[in-house]
Amino acid sequence: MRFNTKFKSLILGLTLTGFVFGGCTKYASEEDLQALERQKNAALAAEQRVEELKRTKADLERQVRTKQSELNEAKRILDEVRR
Amino acid sequence: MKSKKLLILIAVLITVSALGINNAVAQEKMKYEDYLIELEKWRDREEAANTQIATLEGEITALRNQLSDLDRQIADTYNLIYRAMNTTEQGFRQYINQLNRLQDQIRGLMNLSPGELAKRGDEIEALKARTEEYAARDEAKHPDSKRLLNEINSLLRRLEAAYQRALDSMGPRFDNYSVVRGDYLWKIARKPDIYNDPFQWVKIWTKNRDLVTNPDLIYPGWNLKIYRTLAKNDYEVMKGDFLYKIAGNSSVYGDPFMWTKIYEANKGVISDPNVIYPYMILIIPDK
Repeated sequence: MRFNTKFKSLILGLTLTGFVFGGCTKYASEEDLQALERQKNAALAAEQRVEELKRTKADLERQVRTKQSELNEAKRILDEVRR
Repeated sequence: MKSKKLLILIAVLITVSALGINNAVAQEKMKYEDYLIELEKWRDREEAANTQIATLEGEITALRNQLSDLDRQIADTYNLIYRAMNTTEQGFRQYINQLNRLQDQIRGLMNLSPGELAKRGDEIEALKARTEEYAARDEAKHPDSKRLLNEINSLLRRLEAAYQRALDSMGPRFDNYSVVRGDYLWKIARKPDIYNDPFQWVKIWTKNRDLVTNPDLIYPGWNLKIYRTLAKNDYEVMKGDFLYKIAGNSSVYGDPFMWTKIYEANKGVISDPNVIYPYMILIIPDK
């Protein structure tokens, strides 16, 4: 009789343990996940903006080099015309 | 005993199943810890990107300012260039257009047949005069102008060579003059529509040697040929020339000792080989 009670307790304990360990972990809520998604989108948009600005900068640097060559050529012509 | 073992097995199975069910449910949700880690990661990325954006925008503004400054310097330099040429940008563009038109006109003449080209001597002279006029202007100092003028001069040299070849192929050009009463060679050569120079009477005589055997004797009604161009094997004597020198000329024989050949071919007009006159037209026989 005593053995059966202990045995039943053991079974119950094991069963409860299984459910307890499985059900006590904390998870992110729906709002948390939406917030995460917004943050992710904001970061990606910012990185895209960085790429656009890099392209703009590269284009402007190319224009500056072209203009500098143009200026050097104009100065060379001025020297020749003044001779 | 067996039933106890069976019961233990069932308990274990229930425990495992409970754990399994919980895991299956958990995989559809994000653990809060993982959520926090992800959130932090994306925040860091956004912050880093924003820092880069601020830096890049500053650099872009600086580049735009640099471009504006370069544009201003270029415009200023070109204003100095036009001022040094005593012109404006528009004036210089017009000058270049005029050079391009001149170039086109020369090319147009070069495309003519020899027969047509031979008639355009005056036009070629006019083009040469215009080229010289353009070359004398201040705008000619510009490298673009120099390049165009060099091309034009090269084209003109080719045109003149083509014109000369066209003339040579047609033979010498001449006009006819009918002698009238009172005429003499000096008087005829003096006429403005002939040579406008009385000393060139010698040219009329030597080019009409078959008719005019004595230059002091010409008769009314005679038809004299007034040559405007010379034949290929004609040589016009210049001041300071003598037969030895003429024969030594590289465009003649390049050998002064061949002067006798010239003398033999022109005995009708050269009585004394030591005496020749400017404007005499001598026949230069082939070597």
